[in-house]
Amino acid sequence: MTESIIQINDLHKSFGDTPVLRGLNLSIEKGEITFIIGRSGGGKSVLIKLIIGLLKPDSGQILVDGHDIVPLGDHDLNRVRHRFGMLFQNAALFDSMTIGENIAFPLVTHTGLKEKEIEELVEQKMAMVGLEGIQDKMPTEISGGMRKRAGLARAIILEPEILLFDEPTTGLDPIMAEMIDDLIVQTQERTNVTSIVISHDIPATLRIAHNVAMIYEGQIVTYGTPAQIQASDNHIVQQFLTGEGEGPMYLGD
Amino acid sequence: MIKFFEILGRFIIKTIEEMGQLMLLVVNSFIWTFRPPLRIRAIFKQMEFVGVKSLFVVILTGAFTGAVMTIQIFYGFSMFGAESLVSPTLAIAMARELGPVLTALMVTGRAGSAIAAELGTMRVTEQIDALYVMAANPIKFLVVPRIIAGVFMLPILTVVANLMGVLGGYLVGVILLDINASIFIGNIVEFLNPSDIFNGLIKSAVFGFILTLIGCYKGFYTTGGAEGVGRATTESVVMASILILASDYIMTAIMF
Repeated sequence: MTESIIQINDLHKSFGDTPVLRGLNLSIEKGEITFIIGRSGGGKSVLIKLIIGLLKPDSGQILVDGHDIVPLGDHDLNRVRHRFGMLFQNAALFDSMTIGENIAFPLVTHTGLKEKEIEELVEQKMAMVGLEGIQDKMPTEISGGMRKRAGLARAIILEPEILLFDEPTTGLDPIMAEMIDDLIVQTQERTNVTSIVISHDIPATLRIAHNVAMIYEGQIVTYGTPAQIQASDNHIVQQFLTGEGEGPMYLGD
Repeated sequence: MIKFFEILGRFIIKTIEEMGQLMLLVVNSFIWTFRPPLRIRAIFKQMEFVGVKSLFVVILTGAFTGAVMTIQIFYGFSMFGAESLVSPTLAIAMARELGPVLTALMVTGRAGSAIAAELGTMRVTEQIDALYVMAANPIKFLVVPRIIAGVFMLPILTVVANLMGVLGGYLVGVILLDINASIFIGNIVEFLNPSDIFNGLIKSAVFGFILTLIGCYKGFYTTGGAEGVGRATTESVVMASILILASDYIMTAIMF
């Protein structure tokens, strides 16, 4: 029996007159990889930003270990954020810093470690994601796949309990995409971190996810293991998995 | 008619929203300035960017302004034989108005716009979100060092502009227009009050605050990708320039 580390209850979020999340419920199991799939603009990125407190919901609860983070102010929220690491869609490395400085940033900001210790940790994490010897390069000098891996190294440097991935393989070639997917699995296996992955990549989802949640119309329409999802008789889920243009899914404007 | 009020109403709401956002940024920047640790390295880096790298353009601006003002003042004053008062008039004009204002406008174009573009890019590429996620307050990391750099570097640049203005005036006045060199310098010393210089420097510190604040503000709240960054950059220059000129009038009315 697994326990849930994040519990989301009846979450609503609108932008202007457009509702994005309409009463979303979801629980994230500790130490497992949960994929959140759904159409572009369907609220996946909004959900992940709500979980890390970059956005505030209109109503609803987000419980992390049983504590609601929605009403928290900046100071308390920052304490919760120490438990998270996040890999952004385009890695979001700081342009003005080298790769090494980027990966060291959380250590420099939040720990009193000495330069030597920081250097060692950075090297260790870089080796873990398969990046070596590029500490002194700038983010613009390396490829998209390398940036993602550097972003991952930065996300795990403080050994977070929960890792968030915002479309980790979008825009990468298939080989690099598979490498990133494997890194997600390896990281989870090595550190027993809880991973939440937003993705459109159905084959990868079915291959590496422990649990899959599908968002449609601002709610979770289905949740289960990849096998359960594939066996789902929900037409919307089936349409999304096969990627057909014809079906019950509202394709909209 | 209803359409007109709709547009007017929307404009007013948007303006008030923007003012509120700007004030919140001011308050937050103020709070974060006094929360340790002070990020000395980041501040020096911004001082180099806002100050040192603007030096060349400020030198040119000051020198040419001084030169052209000397010609114009000379044209007027020579009509009633007051050539000896050209230099103090120039020096007072530079110290009170031209030095601070022109320096601020030039630095707005060079550094204020660059600040808006840099922060705007950081916003649209989620680097600002990344700071939040890593529990590093972006106001402390990005906004505060830039504003501090602006407030401290603009007066220094203004001193440079003032000196260059007098130098430019000296070259034109003494060498081309045949004003006696010792009269040129002597009358500046006699008529220029320290308070002229001092008040000009206070103005320039305020301008430094305005141009870095507006650059940060427009960049920080950028939306809409590359196009949005372009818009933020333009708006920051326009808004900062207008605020500099308007606040100049207010400060001048109070000071002199």
